[in-house]
Amino acid sequence: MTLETRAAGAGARFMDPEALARIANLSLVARTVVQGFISGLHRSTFLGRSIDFAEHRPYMPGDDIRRLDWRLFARSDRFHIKEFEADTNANFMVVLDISASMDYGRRGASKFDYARMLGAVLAAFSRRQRDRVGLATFDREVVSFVPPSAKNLETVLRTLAASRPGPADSGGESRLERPLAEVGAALGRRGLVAVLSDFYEPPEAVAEAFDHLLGAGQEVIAFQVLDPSELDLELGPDPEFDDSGARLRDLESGAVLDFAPGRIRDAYRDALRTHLAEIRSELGRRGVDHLLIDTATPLDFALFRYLSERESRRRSR
Amino acid sequence: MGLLAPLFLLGGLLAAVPVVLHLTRRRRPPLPFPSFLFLKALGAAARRKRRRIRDLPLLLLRAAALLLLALAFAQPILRREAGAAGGDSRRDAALLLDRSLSMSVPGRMAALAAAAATELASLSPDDRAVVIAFDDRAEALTELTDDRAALEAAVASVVPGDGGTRFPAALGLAARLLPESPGRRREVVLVSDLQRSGFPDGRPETALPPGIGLRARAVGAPAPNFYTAGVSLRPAGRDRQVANAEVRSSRSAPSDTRPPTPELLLGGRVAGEMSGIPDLSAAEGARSESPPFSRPAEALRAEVRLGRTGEGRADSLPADDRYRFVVHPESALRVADLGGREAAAPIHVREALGVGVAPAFWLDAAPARGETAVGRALASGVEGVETVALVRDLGRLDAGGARALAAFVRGGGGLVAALGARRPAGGVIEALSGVLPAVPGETADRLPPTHLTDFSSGHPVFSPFAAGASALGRASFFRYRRLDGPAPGAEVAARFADGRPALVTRTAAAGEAGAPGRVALFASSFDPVWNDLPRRPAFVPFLHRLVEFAADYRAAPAAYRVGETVDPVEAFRLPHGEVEGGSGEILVETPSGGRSVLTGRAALRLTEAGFYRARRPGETEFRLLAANPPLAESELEALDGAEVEIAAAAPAPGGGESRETLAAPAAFSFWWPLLAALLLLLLAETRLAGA
Repeated sequence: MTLETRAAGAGARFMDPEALARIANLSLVARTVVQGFISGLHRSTFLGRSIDFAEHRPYMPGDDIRRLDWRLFARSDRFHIKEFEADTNANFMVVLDISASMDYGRRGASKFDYARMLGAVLAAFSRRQRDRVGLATFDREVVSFVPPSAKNLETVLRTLAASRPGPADSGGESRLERPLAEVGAALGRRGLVAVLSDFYEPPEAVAEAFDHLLGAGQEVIAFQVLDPSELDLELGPDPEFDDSGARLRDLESGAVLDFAPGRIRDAYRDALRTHLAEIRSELGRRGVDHLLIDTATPLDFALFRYLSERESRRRSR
Repeated sequence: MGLLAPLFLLGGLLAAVPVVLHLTRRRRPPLPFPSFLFLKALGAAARRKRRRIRDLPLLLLRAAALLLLALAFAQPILRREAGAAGGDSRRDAALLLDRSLSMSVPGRMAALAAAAATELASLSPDDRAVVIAFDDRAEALTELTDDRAALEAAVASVVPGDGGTRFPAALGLAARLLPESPGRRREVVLVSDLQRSGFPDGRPETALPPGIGLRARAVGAPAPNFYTAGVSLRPAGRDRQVANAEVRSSRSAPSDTRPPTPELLLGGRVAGEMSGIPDLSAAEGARSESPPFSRPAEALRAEVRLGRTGEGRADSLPADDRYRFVVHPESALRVADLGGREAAAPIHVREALGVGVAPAFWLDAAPARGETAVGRALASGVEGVETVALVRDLGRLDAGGARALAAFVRGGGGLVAALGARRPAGGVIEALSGVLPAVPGETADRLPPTHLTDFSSGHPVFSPFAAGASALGRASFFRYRRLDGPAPGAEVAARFADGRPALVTRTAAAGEAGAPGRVALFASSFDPVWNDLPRRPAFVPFLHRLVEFAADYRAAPAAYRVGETVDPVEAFRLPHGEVEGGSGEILVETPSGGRSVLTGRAALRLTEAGFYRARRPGETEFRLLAANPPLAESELEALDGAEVEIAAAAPAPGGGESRETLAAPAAFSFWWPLLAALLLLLLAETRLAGA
C-alpha cells in the first residue's frame, strides 16, 4: 500500500487525510498514523508520567530511554520500560459530532470522515499510552456511547467505522448542550474528553455546553473541524458553481437560499473569524483547549498539534 | 421579396424555447453548505438575482438558428422587378389567358379580364404583346403586336369553354411566339386559376426556355366543388337486359355543404331515385346506384345530375355536375361450342363465360361432326351478334366439321381452339391447314408441372393482366400438346417454361395466304385435368379475352371526355363497311349545333361537353356519343403563383451563362443560403457550448 504524503513544514512529511479517507479499515488508519507519528518522534516528551510503578513491558522503538529499567537490563540483558500506574488509569473519551453539517467537504475528505479518523487516531494513541478509551457520537442527542475501558479500543474503532452522518435536511441543528450534558453525566471517573465538532452554534452556547463536562470534573479539549472552503468561502472550482450567483442548501435545515459568494466573501470571513475568536476566548476562560483544524491538515500533524498544546498547557500549570 | 409558405414563420415562435430553457433548465441543483449561521446574518443584500439570463451569446445563437430554420421553411423568394434583369427597356409579352372549364366558376373570368386589362395598360408604346387563350390547347388570338385595340378585343373574346387545362402547351406556344430580339426583354404573363392539374402529375415543370421570364397571376380563390366522376352500367341480376347505373361522385375540397343528391335521367326523363345517397365527406368519394332499367333497343341518351331537379345549385362549378353517357343495346358475342352434344362445356367454361357483361357471352352448344351440321350451327345466330367458334378439343372434330370450321374462319369468323386427349386426325389437320396458326403434335407430360411464361407484351389477350401476367404464370400445367411450326404470320403469345409454345394466335391481317378470321390456339385444355388454370381466377379474364380477340371485339365506352381525339367509326359505332367501300364521309353534329363532315379516317377531337351525333350520308339515324368535361378540371386545387414562376421558368444553368440569362427568372428562392447560414450557426453554437 502506498500512502500519499505531502510536505507540511521543513523536514517533515505527513500523511494526506484524503488518502487516509480512502482506507476503509479505520483501525488500520489509526495504527498507521500512530505508528508513523511515534516513529517520527525523537523525544517522548509527550508521554504520560506517574510515580506509582505498575509493571514492566518490553521496550518499543520510540519509548523514552530514560524510562528503561537498567537494573532489569543488567539481570536479563533485555530492555524493559517501567510502566506507572497513572499511565493506565486515565480515561480518554472521544465525543464526535455526527450531525448533518459535518457531512460536508468540497476539498478532500469530508469533515465527518476527517473527524472520525482523528477520533480513531486519538483513541489509538491514547490506548497506546494505556489509557482507557471510550466514544460518544451525537447530533442533537447522543447516538452511540461506548464507555471508557482498557478493552474497548476495537469497539470504539468499529463504532466509529459504523457511524454515519445524520440525515441531511433533517430540519434539526446540532445542539451541544444536551448531548454533552448526557456524556458528562455518564462519565463517572475523571478523564480527558476530546470533543470533535464544527461548533456551528453561538460561542456562548458552546461554552455553556462544555460546562456540563467541566462540571463533571472532566478535562476537555475541543477540536473544531472545518473544511477549507468554509474558512474562505471559496466554493470553486466547480463547473456548476458561479461565483456571482449560487444556490446553497443548508445541510442542517434543508433551507435553500441564493447567494452571491463573491459579494459576501469578505464579510463572511470576518464573521467567521470573529466567531472562532469568541469560541476560543470563551473556552479558554474555562480552561478548555481549542484546536481549529481544517480537513486538509494531515492527521499526524493534527495529533502533533494536540500533543504540543497539551504539553505547553501542562508546563504552564 | 415574398414567402412561398408563410405559415412556417409561426415556427419562429420556437425562438422563445431557448430563452425559456435558459431561464428554467439552467437551475442547477443547489450546492450543499454546512450552515447558514453566518450567511443569514449577512442579510438580503447578499442574495443574487434569480432567473437571469446567462451565456447570452449562446442564447442568441440558438434563437437565431431557430429563426433561420423557420425562415428557410417559409421559402422566401426574391422577385425581380421588370426590367431589372438585363436593363432592356422594351419588352415582348405573351398574355396567356386561361379559358378552361374551371374558369367558369363565378367571378373568375371577371378577375381574368381585369388582370389582363392591367397587363395591357402596363405596356409602354414600344412594347409588343400577343394574346394566347388556352385550355388543353393553346391558340394565339393575335400576332405579336403593339396594337392595343386588337389586343383588347382579343382579351374580350376569351370565354370559358369545356376544355381542360394544360400549362405546358400554352407556355410552349408562348415561347415560340416570342422570338429573341436584341434589346427586347421577353416575358410571359400567365393569367389563370393555376389549377394544379394543369401540369402533369400536378407538379410544375420547366416549360419555358432560358431568357423568357414568367409572371403568374392567380385569379379566383379555391372553391368547394362536387362532381360526378363517372358512371358504370352493370346488369341487374341474371337478366342482362336489365341494368342499373352505378354513379361515382366526389368532391374537390372538404366542405360543410350538404352533398347534392344524384339523379339519373334516361332520354330526358327522371329514372327514379338513386339509392345510397353519397357521403361526399369521404375522401375517396362515394357511390350510389340507380334503380334497374331495361336496356333500350337502340342507343339512348342518359345523364346523371348532382342535385335533383328543383334543388339549388350544388356548388361553384355546375358544369361538371352533369355526366352524360349513352346506354347502348346490350353488346354480346355468341360462342358456338363445337363440343358435340355428348360433351357439354365443362362448368368452368360455362361459368367463366356466364359472367361476361360487356360484351355478354352467349354460350351455344354446337355439333363437332358433319360439315353440314357444323356449318349450319356456325351460321345460325342473332343478327348483329357476332359468332365465335370455340373448340375445346380439336380431336373431336371430324374432317367434315373441320372443313366447315375452316370455311367459317375464312369467312371472317373467329376461332378459339384448345387441345385435349384426342389427337386431331390427319384429315382434320389437312382441312384446317392455313387456318390453324400451328400444328398440334404429341402430348408432353410435365411433373413437376410447368408454367406459362414469356407472355407477348402488348398482346390484346393479356391486356387485363398486370405486367408480366403473373396471375396466369402461377397456373400449373401437367400436360399439353406440342405445337409445331408456327405458321407464317402467327404469333407465339405465350410459352411454357420449357420453351414450347403455349398460345399461338393469328390475326386476319397476318394471314395473307390463309384465313381472314382471327384464331387463338391453346396448347393445353380448358378443363382442370391437364392443368389447374380453370380453377384459378385468372381463367375468367383469360377466356374472355380469347373470345374477344377472336371476335375482334372492341368495347366502345359509354362516354368520352372533352379533349380526347376519337375514331368516329369506333366511337359512334358506325358500320365499317361503308368506310371502305363508300365515300367514307361522316356527318358530325356537335353539342352546340355545329356541323362538320369528316372524310376517310379523319379523327374527331371532342371540344364540347354534351352529345355528339353522327351518321353516314344517306342514313337517317344518328349515332350518339357523349362527351363530358375533363375529370381533372373538377379538381380546383390551385398552385402558388411563385411556385409556378420558379418551376416553369428555365432553371439557372450552371456556369458559362451570361448574367442576363441567369437573371431571367422573375423570382428565385433563396432558402438554401439560409440553411447554409443555419449550419454555420450550429457549428458556432457547438464550439461555444463546448468552450
